[in-house]
Amino acid sequence: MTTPQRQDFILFSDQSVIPTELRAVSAEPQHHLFLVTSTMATQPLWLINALVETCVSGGPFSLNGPSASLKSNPNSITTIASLVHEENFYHNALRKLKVNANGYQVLDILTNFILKNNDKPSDKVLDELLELFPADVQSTIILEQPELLLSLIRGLTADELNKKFILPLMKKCKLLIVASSIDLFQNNENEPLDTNNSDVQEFTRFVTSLIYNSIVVMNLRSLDTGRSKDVTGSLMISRGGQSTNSPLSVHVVENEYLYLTQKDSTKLFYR
Amino acid sequence: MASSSHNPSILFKRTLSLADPSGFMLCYDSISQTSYPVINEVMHSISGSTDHNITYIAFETLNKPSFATNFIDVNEIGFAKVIDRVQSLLPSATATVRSKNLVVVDSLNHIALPHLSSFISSLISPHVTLLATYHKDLPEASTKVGFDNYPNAETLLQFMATSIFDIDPLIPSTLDSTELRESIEKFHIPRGLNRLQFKVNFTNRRRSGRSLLYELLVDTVAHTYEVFEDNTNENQEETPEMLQDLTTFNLSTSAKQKEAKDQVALPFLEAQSEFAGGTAIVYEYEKDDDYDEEDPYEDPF
Repeated sequence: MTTPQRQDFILFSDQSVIPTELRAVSAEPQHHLFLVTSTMATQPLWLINALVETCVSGGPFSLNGPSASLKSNPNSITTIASLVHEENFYHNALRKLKVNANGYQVLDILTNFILKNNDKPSDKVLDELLELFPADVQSTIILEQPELLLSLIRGLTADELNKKFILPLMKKCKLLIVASSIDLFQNNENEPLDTNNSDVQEFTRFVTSLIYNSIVVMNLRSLDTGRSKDVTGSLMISRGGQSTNSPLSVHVVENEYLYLTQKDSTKLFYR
Repeated sequence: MASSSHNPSILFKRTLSLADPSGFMLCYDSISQTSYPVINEVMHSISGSTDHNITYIAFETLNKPSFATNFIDVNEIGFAKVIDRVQSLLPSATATVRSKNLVVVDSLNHIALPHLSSFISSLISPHVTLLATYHKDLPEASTKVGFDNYPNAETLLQFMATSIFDIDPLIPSTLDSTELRESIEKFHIPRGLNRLQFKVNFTNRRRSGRSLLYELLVDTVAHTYEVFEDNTNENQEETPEMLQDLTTFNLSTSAKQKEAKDQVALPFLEAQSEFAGGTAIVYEYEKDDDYDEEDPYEDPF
């Protein structure tokens, strides 16, 4: 049996994951958003790790990505903030990939979130969260599952979360990568989604706004046919809402990969 | 209603280049095809003509577009101050000015329903054209106006707009429209969307209130606008192969049979050709008819 050829992970037309324009120090920095959408069955951790690796080391080496001539910006640090994983989790995972620990920092915004913020008004909670992030307009911030804030902060609406947290966070950096779960919207034939439910509407509004603001959308999904031994899921790269408005000189290369995660490594194949 | 006396491409071009007076141009878009190419096309169309003063009101855009003369970040100054700031940048309604003013809004979804109509009406004036985007797939935020029958934002905007660009993607060949809708609902964005070529359902409303609706295929790379022709029906035409092996009966028609079928003149066609100029009632007396010339009620005419 022949094994299919492993493929490079590419997002843009200059064969890169993060184009040179987004790495180089620019006098007038612009703000961009990448979106990763995933489900319970297809966790995005390997992809987030590969993106951190690209920011810090210059290329997604763990995914067989392009490596030549991509020097990372040594002056700016990559910040990872997660609402589902603690600090050590990312340190361990990135140490295994041999990513230089001086190139990134992990913010713990998950531990005791409710205890700390139970009685505070939503504006104050979001302001305090924002202050945790460094204001470096050349840097990259990776944010995992911010939609959980809609459930964690009482009375918070999608618009407030967007205007008071996501957009100000985008202004603090050059590239914001948001990983969001879209489990809610997957097929559920026994119990169809109640679109009149206000919680569902807020989630829909939040995810839709993210897609409108993003240049590229990376969607991780399981196979339509169920599970398979040699395929974990598929990674679809498609243009986001801002792709036709982007000032970048490169364009998004739309692609669909199949991926297989075994132990600690992930391999990509063309579909 | 489609009108044959107009060339839709020219009308579309005139609207994009702001040659026709149009107070409020509305772009309806979705995540599958956003309105940025249309806005950029407007900028391309007006770039050759006299100087334009372009004000960009950004609710969701952070990067100042290169065409914008003034850029207003609403999240920075707050919604309450937007109108004052914009009006300070625009000439008053009574002033005589030569340059054209364009206000671009991205997007109207972020304005609460009670403020929407006053926001739009305070911006539109004889010297100002408003070009605003409304995302049709973003669920409306639940704000109550206080009246039971108050229209929703979409209806309200459609009523106010003088030109509407309803933007749809060209559906990728691998999908049909139902599959596309289903995958977008699940946030699985397929490949081949958000392109620079797309379909626009263009509504142009005249001063008389009459609106003209056209479907156009817009290519923003070549800057061409053609009338959209739906080819899906042509592909559905019956072929002999489609009827083969369905039953033991012979359902297909031979070429000769088809030709004979086509030559049968249908009765309603004959009736139309006979009185092409108008209509008439023809009464022919038969031999048994009893016709009395003296009886005024006898004459059927």
